[in-house]
Amino acid sequence: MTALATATIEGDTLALAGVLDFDSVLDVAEQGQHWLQESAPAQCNLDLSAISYSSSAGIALLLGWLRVAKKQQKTLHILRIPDDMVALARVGGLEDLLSGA
Amino acid sequence: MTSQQATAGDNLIEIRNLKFQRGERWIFDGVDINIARGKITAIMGPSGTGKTTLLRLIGGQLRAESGSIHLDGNNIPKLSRDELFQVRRKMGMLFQSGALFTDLSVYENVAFPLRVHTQLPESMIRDLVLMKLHAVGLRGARELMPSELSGGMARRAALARAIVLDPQLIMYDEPFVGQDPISMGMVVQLIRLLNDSLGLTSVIVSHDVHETASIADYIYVIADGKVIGQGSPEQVLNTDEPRVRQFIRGLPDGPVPFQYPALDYRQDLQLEPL
Repeated sequence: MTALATATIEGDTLALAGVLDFDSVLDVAEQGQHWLQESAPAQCNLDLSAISYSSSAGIALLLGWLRVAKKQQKTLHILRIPDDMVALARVGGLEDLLSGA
Repeated sequence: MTSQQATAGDNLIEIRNLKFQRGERWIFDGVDINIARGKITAIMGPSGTGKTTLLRLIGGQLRAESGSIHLDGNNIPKLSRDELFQVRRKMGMLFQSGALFTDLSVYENVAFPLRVHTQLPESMIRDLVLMKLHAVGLRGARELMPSELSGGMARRAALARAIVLDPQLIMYDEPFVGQDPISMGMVVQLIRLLNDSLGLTSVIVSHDVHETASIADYIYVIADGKVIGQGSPEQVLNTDEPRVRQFIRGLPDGPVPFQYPALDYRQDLQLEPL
């Protein structure tokens, strides 16, 4: 059984919830990309407080969205990143990139 | 439910009364081992005592004659092929040889499990490969072929591949063999870093006493198909148990015999009747 990830957009913030495993990241990847390309304001937020587990694929999801935002000349602020995601990012040498985004 | 409860506690793996035979010889003759969640557990013993066989039994490549190997509630010897395929996604294995695909670049070696087990787009595969290669210090070496790598680099590239799917469990088969002191130090540091940062559970099979004792949280010593000693590195290094002491101190003969079990020598030379 695959665990589910969901994305909810409210104003300038996209809130992710659930589990970001190697399958479920695909449930939300396009939705976030579309939002960043179309309706997200120049300063927008990604709220990760409701993520219960993230694999490394969750970090790759964020990197993809950061690239889209940059291309659109928007700034995506990553908020409330869970500690285990920070630890994963740290091992991959990406701690600064994600916290400073 | 019963099997779930069996490993609901602090152990990721519980091995009970494991028996495995090769030909006439019992490789394991009633072995009990606990692998604690989030810790580094070492399985030590002289060469030929079945340490690698134990990893293959945990991975389900071999099936035990009897006994159980519970991993997070799944009894490995009883799983179907499909169930085993799912459970193996949670396991990373670093083989002694590194076992990189020689006709693929470092990048493609690390990407390989992602291509087999996931539907991720190329952009995410690239991010994941670069993250894991960065973790082992080889992001800049990704275009190299395995034949262009030193032994230590090959081991690290294989480690990046072993962790690319974020396994719960990683098993290292003789990770220190054939490494120069610098790359040995790097491997020791990486095993500890990955274990602690990623919340991994690690199993190290090794006969290198000092490197293993420097990194393990708990050690089992195996000989003659049995667990002959266990405890913290300090306990195992300072044990009074004669067979464990022989192994730890590297004495060629003792309670663990120098000779592989054989016929009486005089009989073998046909100087005396059988």
